[in-house]
Amino acid sequence: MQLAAPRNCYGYRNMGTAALRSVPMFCLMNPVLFCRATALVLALLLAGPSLADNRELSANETWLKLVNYEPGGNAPSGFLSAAQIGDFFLADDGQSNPDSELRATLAALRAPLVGDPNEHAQCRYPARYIWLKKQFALDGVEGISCPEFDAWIYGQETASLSIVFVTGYLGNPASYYGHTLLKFNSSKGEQTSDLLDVTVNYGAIIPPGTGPLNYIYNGATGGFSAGFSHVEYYFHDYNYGELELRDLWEYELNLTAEEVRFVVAHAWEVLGHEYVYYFFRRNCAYRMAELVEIVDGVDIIPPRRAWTIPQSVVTRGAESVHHGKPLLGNVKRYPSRQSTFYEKFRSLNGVERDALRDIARGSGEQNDATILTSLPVTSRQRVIDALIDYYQYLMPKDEPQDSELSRKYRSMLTYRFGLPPAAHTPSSTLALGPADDRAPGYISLGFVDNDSFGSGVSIRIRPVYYDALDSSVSHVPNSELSMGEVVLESIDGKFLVRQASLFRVESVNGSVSGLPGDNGRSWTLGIGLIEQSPSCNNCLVARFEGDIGRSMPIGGNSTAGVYIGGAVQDNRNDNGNLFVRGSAYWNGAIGQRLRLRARYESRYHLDGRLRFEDVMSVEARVELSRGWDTRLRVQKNITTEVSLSLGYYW
Amino acid sequence: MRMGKSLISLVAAGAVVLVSSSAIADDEKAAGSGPSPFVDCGIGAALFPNTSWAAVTSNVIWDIGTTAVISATSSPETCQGAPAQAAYFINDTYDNVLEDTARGDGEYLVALLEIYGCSSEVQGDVVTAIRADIGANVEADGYATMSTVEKAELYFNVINSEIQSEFAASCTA
Repeated sequence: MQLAAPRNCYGYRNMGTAALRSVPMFCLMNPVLFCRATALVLALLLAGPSLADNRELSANETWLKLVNYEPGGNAPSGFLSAAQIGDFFLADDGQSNPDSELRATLAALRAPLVGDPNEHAQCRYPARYIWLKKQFALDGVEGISCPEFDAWIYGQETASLSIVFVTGYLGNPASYYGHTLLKFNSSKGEQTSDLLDVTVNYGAIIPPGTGPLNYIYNGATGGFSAGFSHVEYYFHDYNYGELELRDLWEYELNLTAEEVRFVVAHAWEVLGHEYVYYFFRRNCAYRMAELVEIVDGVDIIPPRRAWTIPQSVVTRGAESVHHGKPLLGNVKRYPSRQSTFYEKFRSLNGVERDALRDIARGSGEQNDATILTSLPVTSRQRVIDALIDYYQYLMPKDEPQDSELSRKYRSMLTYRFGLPPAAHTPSSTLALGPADDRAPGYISLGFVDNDSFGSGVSIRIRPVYYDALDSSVSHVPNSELSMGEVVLESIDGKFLVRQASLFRVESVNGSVSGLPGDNGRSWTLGIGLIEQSPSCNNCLVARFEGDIGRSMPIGGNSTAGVYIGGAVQDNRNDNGNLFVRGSAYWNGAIGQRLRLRARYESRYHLDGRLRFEDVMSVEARVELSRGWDTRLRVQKNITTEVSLSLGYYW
Repeated sequence: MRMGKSLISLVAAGAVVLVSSSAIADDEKAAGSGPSPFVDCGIGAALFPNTSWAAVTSNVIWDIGTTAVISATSSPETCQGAPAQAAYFINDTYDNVLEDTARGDGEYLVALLEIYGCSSEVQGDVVTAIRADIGANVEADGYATMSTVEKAELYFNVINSEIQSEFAASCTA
C-alpha cells in the first residue's frame, strides 16, 4: 500500500515522533528497558487502532459514506468513490481503496500542525475527524483551530438544517421534476430573515454553448462534471421564484445539534470537489440526500430505482422517523412571483379587482390616479401591491427600461411610495405540501370493453410523474408530465400494445387573473408509439406531436382551453404521415377527491386515405387515498372503448 | 482543484465588474457616505445575468457566493463587513428590496436591515427615514434610464448614509 505524499509539510512520517513526544516524563527516571517498552506500547496505542481495527473501520457504512464510496468498478475493494480523482483523497489509491484512504486520513489527522491550519487534514476533513474521533481512533490527538471552516456561514452556529424542494418547471427538461437543496439555518439570535442563510447545492457544470441534444445526451450518460456549491438562500429564492416562477418549500429536519454539526462538516468536505452528473439517478436530489444520510438512521433516498425524483426524497423524508420524531419538522413556503400575484389577486374584493383590471388594461395615467384615489387607502395599497407583482410577473428580467410595462411598473412604485407603509403579510401556508404528495410512479389494472374486440383487461404503467387528473401542489396544475408510459390490453385472447410513449408534456397556464399578458398560454409535446385508434389491432405508429393554445379558468374549480397543432407519424395502414388538428378540453373538480377531464379533437390528414378524424374522451378520477385511485375512461375514435381501473402510486 | 475553479471564475468576474463599474464616478457618492463598495469593490455585474437556456435552468451554480466575490475582488477595509454585504445584496435583489421599501415592509427589506445589524425595534424607524428619499429617487427624471447597478448604488448611498449617521448605535453590524 502506498500512502499519499505529505501535504504542506505534514504527514504520517511525523506520527511516530509525535507519539513518542507524548511519553510521560516519569519514564526518564525509570530503568531504560522498562521505559523503552513503555514508550513502544504508548506509541502503538497513540498511533491508533490496529490493522484489524482499521479494516473494520474502513468497512463501516459511515466511512464509506464520508468518502462517497459506491459499490462497483473494477477495484479489488469493490468500491469506487463518486468523487473524481483530485485532492479529495489523501491516499494515491483512495478513490478505490477505502482501507488505504482511512490509513492516510488517520495519519494526516494525527500530523502536527505546520504552516497554514486551513490546509491541515482536520480542517479539510472535519467530518472525517469528528467521526474517527468518535470511534476512538484518534485518542490523544489534539484538535486544532480551523479559521476558514469556523468562519464559514459567517461564523454562526448552524441551528438546524432544512431540505428545500423547488417545484417543477416545464420550461426546461432538466427542471421538469423539481430540485432539492440543503439550507443551513443559522442560530439567528435577533435575526429573523431566512434569506441570508447559506445553502449547499449540487448541480452539473454545463459548458457554455451546449445545445439541447448535447445537453440531454450528456446529462443522461454522465457527460457533465458536477459539484457542490454554496450560496446564500436569497439567490435561490430569486432565481427560482422570480426568474422561473417556481414555488419553494422548506422542510426543517429534526436532527440533534451533534448531527447538524456532522452534516455541516461533511458538506464542507465535499464543497468544490468534482463529481459526475447523472440526470436520472445520481442527480441533485440524490447527492443532496447523501449529505443528510451521513447521519446514522436517516434513509431518504428511494431505493431500487433507476431514477431519483426530488419530490420522492421529500415524501420519503416525511415518512421517516428519527429519534422517535418525524424527520421533517417545520414547513415554510416561499411562493414564486406568479403565486404571490395570484394570491393577492384572489384576496381582492370586487371593487378592488375592478380597479386593478381597469388600470392593467390601460386606462391612462390620469385615469389611474382617479381610480386609485376613489378607493380607501387600504384598498389602494392592496391594489397597487397586486399590480406591482403583476407587472413583475409579466416583465422579462431584460425588459427595456423605456417599455410600457416598465413605465407602468415604475408608476405603481411611485404611487406606493406616496402611501403609508403597511405590514408585510406572510404568504399563505397551504394545508398540503409536496411532502404530503403521492409517490411519482403509477400502475393500474382495469377492465376494458371495446366495441370492436370485446372485453378484457388493461394494464397501465407510468414510471413518472403526473397528468391533469392527479397533478398536485408539487406539480403544474392542469398539466401533464409523463415518461415511459405503457398501456397494454388483453382482449378476447388478443394481446394489444396500445401505447408506449417516450414522453408527453402538457403545460397549462391557468390565467387566473384573466388580465392582459396573463393569457393562459399552453402547449403540448409528445413522442412515442401510439395506436391509431381503439378500433384497430396491431396498429401502433411512431408519432411526434405538439400543440399550442390558450387556457382559462371557468368558475372556481375548472379550467378549459383550446389548441391547434399537429403530428408527424409513420404511414401505417395508409393513414398518412401528417395531420393537423384543433382540440378543446375541460378539466373540473368536484370536492377534493373527484376530478374530471373531457377532451375533443378534430384531425385533418394531409395525406393517406383518411381526411377527417374525430377523437373524444372523458375521464373521471376518484382519489381513494394518498396512494390509490380509481378511474373511469370512455374514448371514442371510430369505435368506443370503456375502461374502469384501480391504480396504485409507487 | 478545490479553489482553482473559484479563483478563475472570481478573477474573471472581478475583471468584468471592475471594467463595467468604472462608469460610476466617485463624485456620485452621497456626501459623507464614506468609501462605496460599488466603486471600490467592483460591484457592477448582475448576479443573475442573461445566460443560455441550459445554464439558467439546469440548477448550475458554482461558487458564486457573495462572500467569495467580496474576498476575491476587493480591499479588506472597504469590501468586508456589513456595508459591503449590504451593497451586494441590494445589487443582487434590487427590485425586491425596492418594492419592500415602497410597501414599508417585507422579507428582503428585513434581511437588508439585519445585514446592518439593526434590531427589530429600530427597523421601522430606518425604513421611515429612508422611504421618502428612495421614493424621490424613483420618481426623478433620470431614474428610468439608469442601469440596475446605478439604481442599486443610489439606494445603497441613501440607506448606508442614514444608518451611519442616525442609527449607528442601533445598527451594530
